[in-house]
Amino acid sequence: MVYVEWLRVRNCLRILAIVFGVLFLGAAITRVAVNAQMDQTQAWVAREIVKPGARVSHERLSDGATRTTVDVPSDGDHIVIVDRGWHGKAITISGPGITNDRNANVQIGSVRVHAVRSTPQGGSIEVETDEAVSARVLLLFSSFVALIVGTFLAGPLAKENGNHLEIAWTKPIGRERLALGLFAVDAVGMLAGMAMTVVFLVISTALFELPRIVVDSQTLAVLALSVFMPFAWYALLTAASA
Amino acid sequence: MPVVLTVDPRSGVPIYQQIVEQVKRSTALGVLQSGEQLPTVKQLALDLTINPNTVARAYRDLERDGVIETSPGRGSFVKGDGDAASTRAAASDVTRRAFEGAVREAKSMGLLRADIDRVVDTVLDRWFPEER
Amino acid sequence: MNITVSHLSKKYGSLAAVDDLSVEIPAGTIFGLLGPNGAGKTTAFKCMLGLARGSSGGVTFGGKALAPPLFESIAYVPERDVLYDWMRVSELVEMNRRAFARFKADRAFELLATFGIDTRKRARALSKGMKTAVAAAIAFARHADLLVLDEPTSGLDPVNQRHVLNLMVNEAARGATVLFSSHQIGPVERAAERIAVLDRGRLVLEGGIDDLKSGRKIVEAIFPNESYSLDGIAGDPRVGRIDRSGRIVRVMALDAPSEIVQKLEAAGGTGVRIIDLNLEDIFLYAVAPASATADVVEGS
Repeated sequence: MVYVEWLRVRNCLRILAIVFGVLFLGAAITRVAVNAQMDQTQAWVAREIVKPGARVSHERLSDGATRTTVDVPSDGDHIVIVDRGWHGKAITISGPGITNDRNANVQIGSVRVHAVRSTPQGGSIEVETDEAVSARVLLLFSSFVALIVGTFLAGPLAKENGNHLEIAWTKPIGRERLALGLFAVDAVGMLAGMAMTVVFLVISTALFELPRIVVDSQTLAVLALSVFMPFAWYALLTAASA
Repeated sequence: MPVVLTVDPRSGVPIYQQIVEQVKRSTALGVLQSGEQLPTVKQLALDLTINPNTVARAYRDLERDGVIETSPGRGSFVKGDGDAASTRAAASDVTRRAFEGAVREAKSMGLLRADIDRVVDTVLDRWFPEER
Repeated sequence: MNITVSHLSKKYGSLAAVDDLSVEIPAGTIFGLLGPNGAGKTTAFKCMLGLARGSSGGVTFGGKALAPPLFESIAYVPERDVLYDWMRVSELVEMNRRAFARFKADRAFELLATFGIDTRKRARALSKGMKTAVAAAIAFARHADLLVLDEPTSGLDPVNQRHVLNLMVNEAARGATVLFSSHQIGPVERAAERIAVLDRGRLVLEGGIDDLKSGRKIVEAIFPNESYSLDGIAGDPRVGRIDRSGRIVRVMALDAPSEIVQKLEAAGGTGVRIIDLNLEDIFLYAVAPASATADVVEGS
């Protein structure tokens, strides 16, 4: 019976893996598209640098990062690239050549793009690739996924329609022990669902840039809450279906 | 065993009785020789798809009637020293059963012993003309 | 493993599905539970195995009351919906291997092969008969002391039906007790040693098939005219029923038919003969309302 529940959990997680796989594929395609965009941006920077009169200066900062500043007096563009090596880059581009039709502040993983709406004097774009990602976001999202997994697995005994329940009751194992075994398997299934979600999120964002996950004082409380919520939901459904 | 026993479970005759009668008939006809081994209870039960206890009951009856003997661990064997006497005894047994049915019917139809006697004589005359 | 059922009852509202059933099933027998559809055979099994709530009465298995560890040696196959449709046959075998210490997976695969079942298939891809066969094969691989099989031959073709019966015989030869139900007479008449007949929840007949066949006969007599008396016969406890049709009298003997013959002859009957009854006749006499059978006899 517990074996049957394992198979059920396995099937459930398999579907989850397929969904994540599809989403990951989407992320990978996006990554390639972004790459093309980055190539254009790099080409633009390269063109700026070779423009007549462009001033390029390299500077080593006290924390070991390298700051590259490009000034193009001919069209007034200003580029600052701070390369912190493993800790990502911060790029700021400003000048009359930058035209943003609106403000934008988008963060995917650790990559944040901040565009300021252009004025007649020009606009600016800031790209930060080492933005902090709170573990809370990951946990809450995975908690939501575990909730869905729990919905599928809940009420394992109520699911035994017709004679399946009789098959369960005619095993040489007490009914309480059997029920506990089933709940334990489902619990493992939900935790596995959470873990899969975290791994999926980290890998997908790492496609773009390795995320800097920040664990703070509240993380533990959020973790507890994220685990508790799907379990409470599972218990509720199971009790309702019993 | 060369004899293939058959049973008809749908008959009104108990299955164990069918086996008993068939084994008796086979020994009377000499199809089952004395000393010949019968299949084990389990084997016959599986061959005929009938209850093992039914076969065991038939074997017990056959043993009681002195047709077979069973020795633990060896199996069941057709009894007798192979002499004519035992074969005749078995044959007589089969004949008597058939006869009894006919006589019962005759009696119930109101025939008297003398009437039946005459009928038997007629039949015997036909089959044993030389002993008339 | 012998089973003792005493005063087992189960009511649905005012309707008794099983009505005060008491029966003793000796160890090592093949015991057939017969009855028309809806007679309460399935409910009786469920009550015995503690699967029906609100049933009263007692059941012991080998002298012991039912407890989970006992299910190691009891193999129960419900009538239908036994298999998880979404599972593969091989997974069903694995499920049993994990649940029962005495389960022999090799034996199960061997039996499944003889039934011609592809173990990679999912249960939902199997026909009704094949599902029955899978459930049976798994039960016979349990090496159980008691098999409780609810309609184990239904939906099977004659070859596989014979195969299942042979496996039952094999289990009995091993010393196991086999309790099975059927609404068909054929399989029971062939393989069972003892039977119980249920009708509307009540036990109407119980005994060894061969004993029933030896004892239960129809004795027919013809009387010279219609003014005859059956006084000494009608009150005999060994007489089940008497059907009269003019000068012909048919007496159902429950036991000792030859003595009934003598009584009929003494009463002036002629042409007295004994008519054998097969299990179907015995069954019908047991479950049919007396008037219905009498009508048939009167009309003939």
